[in-house]
Amino acid sequence: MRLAGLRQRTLTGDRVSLEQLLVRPPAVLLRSNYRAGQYSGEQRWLSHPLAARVRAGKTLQTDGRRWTCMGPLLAGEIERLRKESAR
Amino acid sequence: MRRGLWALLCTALALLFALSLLTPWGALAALYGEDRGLALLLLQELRLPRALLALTYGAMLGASGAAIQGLFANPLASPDLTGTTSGAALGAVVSAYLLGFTGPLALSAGAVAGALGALLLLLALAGPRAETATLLLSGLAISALAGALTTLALALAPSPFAFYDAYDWLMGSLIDRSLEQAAFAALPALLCLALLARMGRGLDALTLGEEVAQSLGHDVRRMRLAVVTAAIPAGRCFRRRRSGARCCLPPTWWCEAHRSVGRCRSAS
Repeated sequence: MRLAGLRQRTLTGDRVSLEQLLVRPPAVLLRSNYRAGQYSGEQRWLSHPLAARVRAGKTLQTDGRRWTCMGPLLAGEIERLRKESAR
Repeated sequence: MRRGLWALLCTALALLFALSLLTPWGALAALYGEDRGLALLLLQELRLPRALLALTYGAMLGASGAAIQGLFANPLASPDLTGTTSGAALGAVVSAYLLGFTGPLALSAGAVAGALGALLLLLALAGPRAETATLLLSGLAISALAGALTTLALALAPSPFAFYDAYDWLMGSLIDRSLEQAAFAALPALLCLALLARMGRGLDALTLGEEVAQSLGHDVRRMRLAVVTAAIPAGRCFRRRRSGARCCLPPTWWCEAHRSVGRCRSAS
């Protein structure tokens, strides 16, 4: 994320709640779209009635698989994210 | 004195409820200054459901725990001994990961179905006229079976997030819930709380033993069935929090506390 020009906000327990997104909307919301059709408990906040009110400056999609190993496969993804966040 | 104690408890509860809505105050106040409508929505759609769920689940776990402890005459007993909590977890996991019913209410409905299935299996194994010991052993067997099936379902789930979500299943969470979910949880919980409250005298008598309770005119068999059935909403609570927290205030403790003023008398 740092190489792509994104700075992760300090979070308690590395977890963010919907209230935090509403109160302090991030400049960029980076979301994994890997297996978006499958149920994920960590993404159930998306179905909350207030989810549509999150005022993130920009939402970027990424394939979460590449972030698993942090290897050379991420180089292209870093460049893509850098370009998209700069737009 | 009893009325005074109830008034004090209700006041403390109301104060804590208000605190849970308003804290952290800084974030709410800052948002209110920027967007009043959104701040009120946050209070109504995020914090209020969280507080209501905490109140509902706390009351349900406490009441069903006390009832189960009275039924099994053991201060360590809890609703998961009936197998309904493990059944609820299995129902929720199968609904979400295997059947694809992932909406919040569908997930809760799956948990209820799982708990009901565990209850029916308990009645089939132990029989509607079973003794308490048979209920206990059958419940333990169902709990172990449902726990193993839940682990298998998570392992076989096509979703790659199943095992990551295991942390969430184990610890539970009340955040990011909606008013719909709070209502879905509260309605059956309130019904079961009312049912358990009606059985209060019978459960008090049960702490003196089943024979004594029966001789005092309480239908012990009906109470067993009612208490085990009332554990179903507690099973859904445990779907949120599977830490196995023991519920408070066993009737045996309450009875001992009042023995000095003659509130508990032996029929013999």
